[in-house]
Amino acid sequence: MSRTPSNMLPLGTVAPEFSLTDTVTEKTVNLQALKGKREH
Amino acid sequence: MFICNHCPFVKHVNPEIVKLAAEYEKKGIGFIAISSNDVENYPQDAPDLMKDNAKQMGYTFPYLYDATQETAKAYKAACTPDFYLFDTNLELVYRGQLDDSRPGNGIPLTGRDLRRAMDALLEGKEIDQDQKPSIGCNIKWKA
Repeated sequence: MSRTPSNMLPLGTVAPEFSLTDTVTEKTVNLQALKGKREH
Repeated sequence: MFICNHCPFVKHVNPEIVKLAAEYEKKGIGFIAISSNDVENYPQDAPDLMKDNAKQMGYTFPYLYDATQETAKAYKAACTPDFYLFDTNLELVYRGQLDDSRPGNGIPLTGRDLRRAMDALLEGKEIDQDQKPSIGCNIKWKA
């Protein structure tokens, strides 16, 4: 069993956008649609 | 978070991530799981089996398949599980481990580190920058 550590992306990095298939619904979804809904 | 089906480190944390999602999704934090593993060499991580796994584990969050591995590369994800927490501006505020528990080390699974970061984020407090890397199976990159 290999043991690999996180790369620790620099804090403050803006989340890269993505568009991927949800394996459960089989629909394509993106970060904007899935991000948390809490307002400032 | 970057996870997968087959890795023992992910299997170990599955009960806690399901619990965390149940607690924190209602507070407004969105949970997203992504698997980027090469399914040719690791057929247990194929998308139809991801769907089965999500149902078996009771994932309340989407479990996305990163077929091109471009998303894992963009996030510089290295292992499964690998955790990332972003604020409302989508800026990274926490990354690394769920807690100190690993398969066989006897430390209880509590989600402590990620919980602390999410609590601080929700309360508008400063998030401790002393963060420990996750340890897990390496992401199975395509040749």
